[in-house]
Amino acid sequence: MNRRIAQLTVLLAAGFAVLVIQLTNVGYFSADGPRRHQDNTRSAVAAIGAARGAITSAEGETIAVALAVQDSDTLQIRDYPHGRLYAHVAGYLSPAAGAGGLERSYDAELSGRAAEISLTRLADLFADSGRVGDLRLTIHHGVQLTARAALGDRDGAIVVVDVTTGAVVAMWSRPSFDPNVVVAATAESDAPPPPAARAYQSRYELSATAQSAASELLQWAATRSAATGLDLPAEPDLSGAPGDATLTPLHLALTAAAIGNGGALMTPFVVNRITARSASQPPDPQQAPAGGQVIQPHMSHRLVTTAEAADLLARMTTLAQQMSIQLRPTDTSEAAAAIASGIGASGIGASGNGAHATDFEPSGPSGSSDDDIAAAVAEWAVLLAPAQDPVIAVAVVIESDLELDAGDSRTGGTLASLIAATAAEAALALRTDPTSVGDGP
Amino acid sequence: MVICGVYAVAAAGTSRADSPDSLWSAAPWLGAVLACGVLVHLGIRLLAPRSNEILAGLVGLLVGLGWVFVARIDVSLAQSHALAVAAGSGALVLTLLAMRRLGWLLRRPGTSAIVASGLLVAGGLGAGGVDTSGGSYVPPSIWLDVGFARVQPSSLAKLLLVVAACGLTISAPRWLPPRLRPHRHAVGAIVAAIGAWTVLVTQQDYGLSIVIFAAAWLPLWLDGSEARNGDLRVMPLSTRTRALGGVAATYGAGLVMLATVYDPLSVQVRHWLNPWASPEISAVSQAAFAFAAGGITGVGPGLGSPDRIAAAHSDFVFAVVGEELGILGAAGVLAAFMLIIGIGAGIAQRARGTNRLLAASVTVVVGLQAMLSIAGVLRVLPATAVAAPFIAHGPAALIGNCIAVAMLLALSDSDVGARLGRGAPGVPDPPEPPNRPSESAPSAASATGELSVAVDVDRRRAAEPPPAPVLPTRRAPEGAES
Repeated sequence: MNRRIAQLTVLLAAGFAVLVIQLTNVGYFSADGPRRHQDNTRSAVAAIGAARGAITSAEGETIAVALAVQDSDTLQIRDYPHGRLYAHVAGYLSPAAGAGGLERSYDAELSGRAAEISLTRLADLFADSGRVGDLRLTIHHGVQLTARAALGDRDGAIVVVDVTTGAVVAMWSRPSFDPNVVVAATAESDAPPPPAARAYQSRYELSATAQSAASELLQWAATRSAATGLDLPAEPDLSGAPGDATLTPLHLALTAAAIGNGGALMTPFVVNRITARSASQPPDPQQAPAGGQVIQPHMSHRLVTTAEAADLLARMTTLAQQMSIQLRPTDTSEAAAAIASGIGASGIGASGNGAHATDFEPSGPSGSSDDDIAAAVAEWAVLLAPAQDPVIAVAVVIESDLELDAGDSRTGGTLASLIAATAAEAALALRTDPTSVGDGP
Repeated sequence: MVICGVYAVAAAGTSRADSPDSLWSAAPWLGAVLACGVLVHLGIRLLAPRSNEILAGLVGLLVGLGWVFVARIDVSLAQSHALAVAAGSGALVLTLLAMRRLGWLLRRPGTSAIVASGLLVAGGLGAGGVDTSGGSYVPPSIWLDVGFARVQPSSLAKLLLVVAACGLTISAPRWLPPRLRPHRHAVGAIVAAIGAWTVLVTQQDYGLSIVIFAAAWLPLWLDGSEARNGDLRVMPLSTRTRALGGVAATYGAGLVMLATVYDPLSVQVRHWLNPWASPEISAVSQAAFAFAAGGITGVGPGLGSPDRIAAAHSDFVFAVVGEELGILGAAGVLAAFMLIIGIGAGIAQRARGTNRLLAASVTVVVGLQAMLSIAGVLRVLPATAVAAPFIAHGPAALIGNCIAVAMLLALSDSDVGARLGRGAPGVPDPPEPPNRPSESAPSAASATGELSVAVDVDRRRAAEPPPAPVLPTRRAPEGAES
């Protein structure tokens, strides 16, 4: 009997050993997955009030910062000075709704828990290192402002992407929301789920005149993987049947960028650099960041051969020149023509004839409050500038409820092209600024 | 040791002033819990002076820690949990007293088994089972609402089953046909398997089923006695081993099969394998979040978010420990459980006869409960409604486990040296069938040490039929082992 007792004891001890191993696993090694899970509001609750890194734009404009609370040494409140402008990028941090946007996908770095920021000495394993991570984005404040102004009060999205690196220079979705309201909400009822980010979370079914450059671009765009690899959370599953042209505006921009990039499709990213900072020092956004972790661009896959890309680029250039002639009679298009010829853009516009927007609900707390998107008509445009050696790619998708007659190709994509052209002009102008994107090697 | 453990608890309680519902209002109840600890300590000193001291201290530490966490999770529970602790303490002391009369219970295995079954049935009637409607996952409930409290009758049933099975090894119920009596180990095991399956199907909690089966099967399995004559006659050890092993294997196979085929169980298994697929966030997922948030050192007592975990005060209290005390704290709790098991095993090794069976089985049952409960929280196994002993809220479970500890304490007390003439309390050796003096030819080695014990038993059992020294027969085949 002794032996059996011993055997049973050993068995139980082995069982407990398994439990200890799993405990260490769940608490440390595999903790990242649950921590980043969309329904986990704990990190948000823990982060609220704690020191947190700042998020700044490429040229040093503060997007999100933790402000000290009056009369309190330890508590801080998260403030978004530009509110709606960067709502879908920076995200939000709220006890009721959890975290979204960069606040969620880079939560470990912002709160200073990421190993790269917190662990420099052995003691950091047990004591708080007191460091947080600041994020410097690839997004350009000036371009973002222009993009928002260009889109005006139409629902839709505009995405500006760097052709060679895949860095996102501007990304604006409308309708947007005010993250400061979400932060202040203490109960879930006070903060309705924010609308989906049209720019990378809404899929639109796009079409173009058959056999045109636009349709060819759409065909190329259709060969896509399930996700672009953007470092923002809750990107929907993009995979679809071959020839299925339901795309997000981001993907549209990336495809255009690939054309300008010799056929190589890049992985998009929003964060350029992560620098560690002691939590007791206030952030200094104007100071050019040094050191830290620089996100390197990398290629997702090759979309088409260099020759095919060059060919389409040439056709696009011709098309843009034709378009500016075509657009001349109407009022708004004068501006478009002027801009288009001024910056030498290559552009494609496509009409909303028969196309409709299908808004797919992304998984996660953010959801669209507009449920009947499917009825809207979408027009889209894609622009590469400058024409000869593209540096930036712009994609615009507008949801409009205009009833378009079949065959009315003149209105197709005009508005979108105009918007794209405005944004492209701003992007090119501001890119000569030395503090713009391109910090890393 | 108890006092040291309680001190740690109080220190942890002080730091919880951070939490929004002030824990200070529960301070009087903390005092009550501490007082219980002192009283239990006194009771043990009085009734079982030579018992294992570390065991009581460990249990006291866990109980106190459990109270602090339950009170921290829900301040309104502080009172009821303190009362439960008081009830458990009382039960512990009472059991120490009652262990002298354990022989009475051991001689009636059939009665014990029937009462235990009755308790299980009562628990099954009130149980909620698994709610598979609505698509969301609701874990099983094995609680019975008796108006003023929600109890788990199964916790007492488990101990009764252990006692019943121990009793079965030395005597057979009168209503058992004589032909079956030699095979009563196998019969008991089969009945246990059927009962456990029934519990599985009706209450839909695999953890409870396993513990029930183990409670009944273990004493039968651990019993190493060889064939004897008369009422104590049993199958040869090797045959018995194979039979019992076969029954256990069959039970296990049935368990797996039911888990695959039976809907409420397969839902649990599916949820265990992928909790993220469920549309709502269940306690299991929240527990994973909690551990991830805790990290190595935890977020600090009182600073976690247990309100997001369903049943945080009972089934998932370990997750709260993991979040607030981190891996280190949770590992400490696991270490405490392992120590308790180790001590229990030590008590079993040093005990004699049926005492050994009792000690070992009780230890394994308590350890199994702890293991299954924590495995469910950690997602090593599907979540079960069996709550971790001592640290979880649940009056009946706490009382049941306190009784188990009392049994271990008493058993550890009686085997310290021979107690000739001391009249000290201790567990009596099992009484023997009426007309047998020393049974089969005891070897010289086996007869020696036990004779003194036989004399002692004689003296205390003067009014009853003289006990035959069961021990010598038992020792013979085990001479090589011990």
